[in-house]
Amino acid sequence: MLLHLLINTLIVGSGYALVAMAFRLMNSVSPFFNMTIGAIAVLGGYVAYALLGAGVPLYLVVILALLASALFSGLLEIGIYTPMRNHGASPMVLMVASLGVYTIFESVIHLIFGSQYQTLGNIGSTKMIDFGVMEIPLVQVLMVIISFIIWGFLNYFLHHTFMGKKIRAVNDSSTLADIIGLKNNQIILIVSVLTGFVLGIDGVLVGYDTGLEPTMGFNLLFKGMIGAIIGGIATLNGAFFGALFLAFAENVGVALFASEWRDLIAFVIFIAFLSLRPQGIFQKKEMK
Amino acid sequence: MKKFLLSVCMVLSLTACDEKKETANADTKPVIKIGATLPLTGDLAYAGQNMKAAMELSLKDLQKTNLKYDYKLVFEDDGYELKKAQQNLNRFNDIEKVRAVMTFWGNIGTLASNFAEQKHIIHMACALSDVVGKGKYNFNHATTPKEHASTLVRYYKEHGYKRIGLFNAVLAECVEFGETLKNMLLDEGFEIAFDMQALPSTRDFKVDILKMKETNPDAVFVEMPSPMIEIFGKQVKEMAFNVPLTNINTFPSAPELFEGHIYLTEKEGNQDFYEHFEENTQLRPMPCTANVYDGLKMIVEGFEKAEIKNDNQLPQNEDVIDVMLNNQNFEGVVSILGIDEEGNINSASVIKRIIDGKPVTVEK
Repeated sequence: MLLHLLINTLIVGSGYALVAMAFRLMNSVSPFFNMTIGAIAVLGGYVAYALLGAGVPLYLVVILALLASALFSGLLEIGIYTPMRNHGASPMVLMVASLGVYTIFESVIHLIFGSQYQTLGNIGSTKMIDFGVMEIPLVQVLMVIISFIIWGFLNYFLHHTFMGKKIRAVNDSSTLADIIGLKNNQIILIVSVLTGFVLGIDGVLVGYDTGLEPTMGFNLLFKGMIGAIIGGIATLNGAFFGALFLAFAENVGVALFASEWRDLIAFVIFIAFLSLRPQGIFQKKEMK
Repeated sequence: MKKFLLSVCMVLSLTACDEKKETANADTKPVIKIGATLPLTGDLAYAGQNMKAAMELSLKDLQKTNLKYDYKLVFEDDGYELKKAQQNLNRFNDIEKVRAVMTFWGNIGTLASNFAEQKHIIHMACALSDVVGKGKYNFNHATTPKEHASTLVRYYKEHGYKRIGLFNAVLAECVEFGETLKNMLLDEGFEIAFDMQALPSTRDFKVDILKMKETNPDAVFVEMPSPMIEIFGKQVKEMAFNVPLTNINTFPSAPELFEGHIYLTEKEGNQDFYEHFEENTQLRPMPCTANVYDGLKMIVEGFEKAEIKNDNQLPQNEDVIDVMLNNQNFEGVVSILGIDEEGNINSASVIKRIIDGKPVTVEK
């Protein structure tokens, strides 16, 4: 039972981690609670669904779905958040705007695809990978591998590339970054597009694993957000491991108590961390 | 400019002609409004949209015959929330002046049944509930939980099962049925291997399935709506939890997942109707689609056949109800139907098994 629990933690936590990393990345340069993060992930899933239905080859479906999410994220930034920010909108106003965008998005998805549950691929035949002690669906194995790859890539990108340095500079102080000539809006746009790619990956993987519904965006967002805050919203590693910790806590709670406790546990931990350790598990090192 | 003004005048005159045509229709045929409070948005929107489509198709098919009255359907979204459903019912009564209302599922059905008795409005529900159909003005077109439960318990006994697991969504109907089944199983000497529940937002059942495996049940009854049931079925397969599963009505939504498993359903689902529904709505039929279709038809036929008394333009609801109650051979798409003294439209429970992707009747 313990082995299965740990493996399930890794699988579920990887899904949360993708959104958590996207949330952290976006929040690092544009610090407001962006509700459209859930919508961007869902878009990736539904674009994949539409393309698969049109007979497009799988490799192209994945590329186009990720591009769609990235483009959507970028367009939201250019069309809505940057202009509002330039006009002095507060984080609260931006959050409310993102809620409006999310609501519109959900309605549009509902109108185009209907409200019925959809899946990518054939729900009845799941390709399984045999690990000896147990078999795990291929899509879940991919989710774990891809989340680790993205975690590694983002760490490398942020710490070993020039653009990564710029992003960290804006994160540290957007005012100073502006003063020294870094084009903040451009950097935020690049981060939005990058976030869109990551969320698109999550949307496609979730679409294959548990299916698509117009209303799934909020759940994706909240679990990713809680994971990021538990781990430490200030660091990418915090977001990644916070998401894994959240999945572990949920699974243990379900194993010890009942399935209905899953969300309760998530939010109790969330409130506890906000109250007692708001900087999260992985406190960011401060410059001395 | 002249051409523009001429075009505007033409459009206005055409509109006026249309209005005259409508008024002419309204003059010759009195209008009867039938309301429906449904979850058209939210998690159960897939079901609400399906019910709406079933009602619209039912009316469309009825309108091909020569009806005495003009029927208008009024839909309001309740998002499966009691507060919104109550607001909708108030609106139906106070503003729309509906003569009948239709609801879907237990929670809202129970609310509407009290409302119907107070306001003397005909209420037709499709709810897995023993109480929604009670009262003079209430009808419930769904097999009762007791009927389904006794059919299933009999099946389990015949197959020598001793330990039964129960896994239900935390939704009023699912919980109510779960309790009915559990009590019946205990009365018949069965052991309850586990009795678990999951919130409708749950999408990961793997830990629950691990716990189920440890209890070694002979069979598992699982009652949850889409998409919970599809995701659960997928994860059961992935985790090789090879135990007979049973459900009410939802297995046919994903036959590839539930091959070989049995499910409870109403008597004799009509394949022609399902094809007719899919062809006209581009939606897959689901539990209650045929019931809602028949339910509206029963109401309309009640109005069509009821006597008009005391110089009224329309029959009174009480007379419509008398017609409905007296018709014990209503030809529904589900089967030949009648209404019992508790307002339940009698649909016997049957057990079907998914064989080669198709439902096959196992036991009546």
